[in-house]
Amino acid sequence: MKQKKTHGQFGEILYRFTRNRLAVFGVIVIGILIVMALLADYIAPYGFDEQNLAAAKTPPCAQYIFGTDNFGRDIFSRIIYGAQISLQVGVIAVAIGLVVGGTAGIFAAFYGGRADTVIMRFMDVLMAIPGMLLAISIAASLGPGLRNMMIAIGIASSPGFARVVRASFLTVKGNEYVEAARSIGASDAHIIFRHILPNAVAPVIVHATLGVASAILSCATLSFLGMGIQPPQAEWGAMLSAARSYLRTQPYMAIFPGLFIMITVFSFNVIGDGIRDAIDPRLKD
Amino acid sequence: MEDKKVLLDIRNLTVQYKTRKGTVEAVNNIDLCVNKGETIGLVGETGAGKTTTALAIMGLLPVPPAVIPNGEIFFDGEDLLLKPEKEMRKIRGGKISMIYQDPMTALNPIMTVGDQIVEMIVLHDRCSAAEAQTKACEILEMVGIPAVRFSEYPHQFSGGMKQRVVIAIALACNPSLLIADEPTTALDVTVQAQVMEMMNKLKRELDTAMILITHDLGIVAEICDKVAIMYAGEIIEYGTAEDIFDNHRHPYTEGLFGSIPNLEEDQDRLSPIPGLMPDPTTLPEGCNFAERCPYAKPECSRGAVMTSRLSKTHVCRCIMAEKEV
Repeated sequence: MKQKKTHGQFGEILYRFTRNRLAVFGVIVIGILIVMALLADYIAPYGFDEQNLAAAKTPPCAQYIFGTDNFGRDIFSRIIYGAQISLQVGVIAVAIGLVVGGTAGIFAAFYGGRADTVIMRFMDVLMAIPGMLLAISIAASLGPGLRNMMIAIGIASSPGFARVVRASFLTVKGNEYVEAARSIGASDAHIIFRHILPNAVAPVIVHATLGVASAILSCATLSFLGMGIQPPQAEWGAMLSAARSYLRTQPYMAIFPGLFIMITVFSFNVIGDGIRDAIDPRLKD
Repeated sequence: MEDKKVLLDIRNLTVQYKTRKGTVEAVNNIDLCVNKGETIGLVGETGAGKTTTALAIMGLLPVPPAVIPNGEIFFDGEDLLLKPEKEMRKIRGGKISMIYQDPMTALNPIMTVGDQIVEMIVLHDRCSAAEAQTKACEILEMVGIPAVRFSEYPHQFSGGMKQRVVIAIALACNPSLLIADEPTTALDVTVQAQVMEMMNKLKRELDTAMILITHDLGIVAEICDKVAIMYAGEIIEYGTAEDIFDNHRHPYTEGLFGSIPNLEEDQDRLSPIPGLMPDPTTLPEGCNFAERCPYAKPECSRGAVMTSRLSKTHVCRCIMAEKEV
């Protein structure tokens, strides 16, 4: 054992995280996707809206490694450009949902009583409206565009986060160490952020990583309805839904965007699991 | 004894829990006085209001449902019940700290034990992180844990060691009053003795007063200067350890001592006090113990029972206390 602690708690968490091979793999994959998105103009062999109608619906070949879609656009290039939007939507929409829903859940659970009732009933009202319908109405009222769409998806997903955060918070709040923290004179904010939150974060992380996938798919739906990304802008969810009609004849048109959504979600998921495990020192061996 | 300064003076404290099923009278008009450096044992069965009293002193009663309709808690001459939350936060941990019953759950599982002691120091003393760390290491050594274990997590410690850590946290800021809520109940007997001995030693070294909440009369006999016996929210007998152990007058106290198994005689069964504590939502009129009391008389259930002062130090709440044994 080391003499004294030399690296802070953060360093220790980072160390435990890097020992989780799968999580590191997730970070690498997401890293590659981000680099790909940033350097799209240099990497992509074709433009995202470059059509070659003569080569429409070409299956994967040397020239078009993922094939072309019904307009003769190179799917590989569109996936690279699509990463710009899909990654943004996945991460930012979830972040918005997490912040809005999470804050509501924390307040509801920590202060309880009337605050709990008011906040959670409001969240129930939001939840009672089907998520997609809610997102559509928010997006419609804010107007089309990437930013508004992310806000819409984020708010539509916030009741789910509020529920998860609240439930997890309540379980942790009942622990004696929370009362013990109170008995040493800690303030509410200190108790929430130092003692409850780190112990309550595990289910929230899982919920958030799964939320990335549904955010990308919601984005596709909104785009399809004309409230998100405007064609011909490439976006994975939209590519997936456009490929629907060719599923029997040209399945590769759906397979590649679907594969990338899956890889992204999987990576976020293992990263999330990795963070969860790294935070909990009991799982260290 | 007389020249010692009064540290904590509870006067006429009543705590109730207002629930849908009625008002639970958890603590009823208790008076309790703790001098500097003194140890008081608060003894009584489960539900007698011991922990509620402790939480009231700390200002940690869950409100709602708890209400304090009357009473005063003077600490260093100031009424804690009138203090704003912000000042109470300074007192909690700084001047009064609490040791919880179960060390397994009283420590945050994802913070190193050292950090948890540092946290306490940083909250109350104005000092740098490095100073706090040095101090935390000293305190760890003081409770018998090598300082190299500073950056270990609670799950790497045994129960007794965890309780030492809890005690280290409680004593980190040199509080003048320590409230120990059954500090050894969750530990096995051999470890209990070690922990108690250590607490007693530290308490004496630091000149900390202590309220020891316990079921264990053996521990009380060992380390307490004064003893208060609680029953159904009342202190029914209060006096020095000698008063209580050698000269107890209340039938309930007698029953408590009677239920300790005797090692010298061959005993097949324990002799508990028959019956159960009255329902705290509907306390009987008169003496709360009358129902279970072997000496109960009709007048016991009529009108409130006054406390009678048997000597300078010894107080008993029983109508027969002054008459005969």
